[in-house]
Amino acid sequence: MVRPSAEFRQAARPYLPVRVTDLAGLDLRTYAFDYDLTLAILVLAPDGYVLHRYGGRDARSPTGSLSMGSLVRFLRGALESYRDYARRPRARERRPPMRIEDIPAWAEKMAERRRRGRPLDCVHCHFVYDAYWEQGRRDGTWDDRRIWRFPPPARIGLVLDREEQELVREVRAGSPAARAGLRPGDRLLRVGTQRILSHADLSWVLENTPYQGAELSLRFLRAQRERGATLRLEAGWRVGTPLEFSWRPSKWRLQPRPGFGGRDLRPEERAAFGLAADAFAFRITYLVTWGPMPRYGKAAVAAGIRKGDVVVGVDGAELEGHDHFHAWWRLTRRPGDTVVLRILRPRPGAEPERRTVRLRVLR
Amino acid sequence: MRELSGGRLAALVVLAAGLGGPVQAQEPFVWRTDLARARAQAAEQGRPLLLVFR
Repeated sequence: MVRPSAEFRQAARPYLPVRVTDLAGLDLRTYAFDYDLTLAILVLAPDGYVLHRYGGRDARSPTGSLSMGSLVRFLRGALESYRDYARRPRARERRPPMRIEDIPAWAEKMAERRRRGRPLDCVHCHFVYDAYWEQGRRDGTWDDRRIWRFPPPARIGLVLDREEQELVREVRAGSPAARAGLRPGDRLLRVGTQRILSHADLSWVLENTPYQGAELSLRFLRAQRERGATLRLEAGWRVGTPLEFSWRPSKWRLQPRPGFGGRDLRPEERAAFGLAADAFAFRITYLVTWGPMPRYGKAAVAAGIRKGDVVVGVDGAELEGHDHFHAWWRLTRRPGDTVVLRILRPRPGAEPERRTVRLRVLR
Repeated sequence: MRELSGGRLAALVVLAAGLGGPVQAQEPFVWRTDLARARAQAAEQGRPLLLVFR
C-alpha cells in the first residue's frame, strides 16, 4: 500500500490546485503538454505562463517518470521558480487562444455527433492529436514527422533518475548528450532557457526544438561546479523507433493497419504453448471487418487469419508485444509490402497447428 | 518507492491533498475545477497553480 505523504501535503500547500478532466474550451497554446499521457501536471503562474511540467512515460514502463518522492521534489523546486518569476515576470508574445473547438475537422465531427444525438460529454486529452492529424490530412499540411511529440530524454541519449529527475544516470555512447560531454552524475540546471526539474521539463524543450536540428545551450552541475555545454541535434533527430512510439494511443489512427489485434499472452499461456516467458506472442481477439475501414480486416480474413490465432512471429522482426507490433506495422510497412506472419492455431486436445500467413499491406 | 501508475499517482495526489479523508479536517485543500476562476483567485492571492490533467 502506498500512502500519501505529509511531505506531499506540505509541498503542495502553497499552490492553488486544479483538477482538469475535460479539455473542452481550454487554450491548447497555454495548456500544452503531451496529450497522449493519462496524467500530466503543470505548474502555472496566474498569468498563464507554464513554469514547469511533470509526467511522462516510455514504452517499457508507464511509471518510469512518476513517483511521489520526485513529485514532492518537483513541487518544492517549482515554487522557487514561481517566486523568481513573480519578481520578474517574463515578457511573452500574446497569441490568440486556440481551442480544440477551433480546429475545423474537430468542430465538424462534433457537430455531426450532436446531429445524431450523440454529443461527447468530455474531451479527452488524446483527442487533441487526433484532431491535429485529421485537420492536417484534410488540408494537405500533415507531415508524418509530427507524430514524434515531446521527445523523451532517451531521444538525446540521456537516462535521468526517477527520483531526482535532473540527475543524469546514464549517457548513451555516441548520442547527442555524449557528444555534448554530459556524464553520469551531472545535474541538469537549464536547457535553453528552461530550468530543469523533471523529465517533462526536458521533453518540453525538445518539443520546441525543430525537426531540422538545432543547438541548445546546457547548464549543469558537476562536482558542485556549474558548467556549460552545447547540445547539437542534427536533422532527423526527433524520429524514434516503433518501440518508442508503441505506448501512444495516437498510434491507432495511423495507416496502414494490419486489420486485426488482440492482447499479449500471459506468462502461463506462453508456457502452455511451449514459448519462452518473454516471447513475442499475442492472441487475436478482433478483426476489423466493420466500420469506416473494413478493408484491412477483410484482407486479413481472406489471407487466412482467424480470431483466436496466436501471432508468434512477424517478418523476423524483434517485437516486444502487441502494441509494438501495431506501431511497427504502421511506421515501417508500406502499401504493397507482404508481411509473413507465423501463427499458432489452438486445437482442442492436440498440439496447436503451425501456420504461415502472407498478408499484403493495403493502403 | 513503489511504482505508481499515472492513475494511482493522480488518485494519491487528490487523497494526499485532503479530499475524502481525515486529512481534510486538518488541512482544507480544495480542488478547483473551474480553471478560469482559479487563475483569477491565484492572481489575487499571488499563488502558483498546480494543474493536474487526468
